[in-house]
Amino acid sequence: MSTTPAGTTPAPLLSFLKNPLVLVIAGCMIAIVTFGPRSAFGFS
Amino acid sequence: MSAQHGWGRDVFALAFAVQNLLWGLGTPFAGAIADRFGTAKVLIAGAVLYSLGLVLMTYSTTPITLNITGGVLIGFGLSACSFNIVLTAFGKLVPKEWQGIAFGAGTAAGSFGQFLFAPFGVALIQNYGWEYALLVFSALVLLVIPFSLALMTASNKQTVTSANATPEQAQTLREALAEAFGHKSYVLLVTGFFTCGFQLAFVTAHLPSYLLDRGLSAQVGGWTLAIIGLCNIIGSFTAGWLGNRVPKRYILSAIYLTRAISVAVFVSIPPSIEATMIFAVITGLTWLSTVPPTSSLVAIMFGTKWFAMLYGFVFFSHQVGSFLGVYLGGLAFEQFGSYQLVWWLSVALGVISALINLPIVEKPVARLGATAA
Repeated sequence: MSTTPAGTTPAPLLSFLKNPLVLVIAGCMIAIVTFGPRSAFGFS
Repeated sequence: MSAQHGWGRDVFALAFAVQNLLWGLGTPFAGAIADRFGTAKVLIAGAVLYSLGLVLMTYSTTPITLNITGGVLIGFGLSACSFNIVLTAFGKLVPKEWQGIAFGAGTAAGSFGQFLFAPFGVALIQNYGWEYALLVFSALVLLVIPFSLALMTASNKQTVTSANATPEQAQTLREALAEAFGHKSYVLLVTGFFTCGFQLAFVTAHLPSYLLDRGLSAQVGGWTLAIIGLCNIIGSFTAGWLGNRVPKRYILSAIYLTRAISVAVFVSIPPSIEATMIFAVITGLTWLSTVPPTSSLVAIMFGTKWFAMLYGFVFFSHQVGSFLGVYLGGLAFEQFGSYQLVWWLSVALGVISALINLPIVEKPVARLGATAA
């Protein structure tokens, strides 16, 4: 349960992506685009 | 699509059942791969499979090919790129104080996707045809790839070989499985989640027909499912938020007990639109709100090294419950001409799950405690 995985250091370019808010938004976008299509075609 | 190919409802229903079962069956394996090799790779592979399944559905002209594309490809694709893998990535990446909200938001987002895509899909199908709609959706699913970059986690191989690896990080897959399935609280959690799947799938599949049988219109059935979806967003987010403030086993117990009581009252009183809407609100608020506390408990008990795989087994139990909820509902109706028996089975399962979640020990296993000490 650490903020960064053990043994890795985010590159400066990727540090923005490790912001918790960015992580949560990215995860939520994945949940939206993966759950949505199946329900639209009757797989609800 | 069904009308163009002359398929009955059973054709899509079977593809749906295959998809759901494989989604559940594939999740522990996808989780183990995510734990072992990193989350982003699994999310990308899942998105490609899912997208491929949607594209190939346009060429599915027989029930068998629909089962392969809409069932197998999308089912395994979901195993690797749905909210289960996302939540476990949250468990590995976000700070502890963020996790309750993150789990709640991730779960609610899935429900919001259903709410958003249903009318979008209808509009696409009406204006451009179902083939075009499938192609648009297959392209949208590929958006997972750029978003997955934010959810990159270290592979276990990296963790173990790094110089600062702890005994906790050195645990093997086999050791993780033996520890989890030998842990009473994990077994109780897995068992309780079966009920969640049973109740959700039974309601989704059979509630509209049940309402018709009780003299209510098809529109009421449609509105009921829509209200459940909307309230689910609120319930999931609230459950995640509550998880940082209230013991999670109490949240789960309260959810299952609330479901049991609401079903018992709903099937015992005369049918009415008002009663159905109240039932929809309660059902929606408790719908996927089990997910944030359940996933959090797995992370608390065993840490995050094999989190995706261990939560995957919990989710598999959910999907087995889903399958039986749909199947037994249909079977009971065919045998007895009524859903009453399954409604009361759902009540009994709700009470049992409310009870079996109470003894869950909400703390890390001794191995993690020893590591921390």
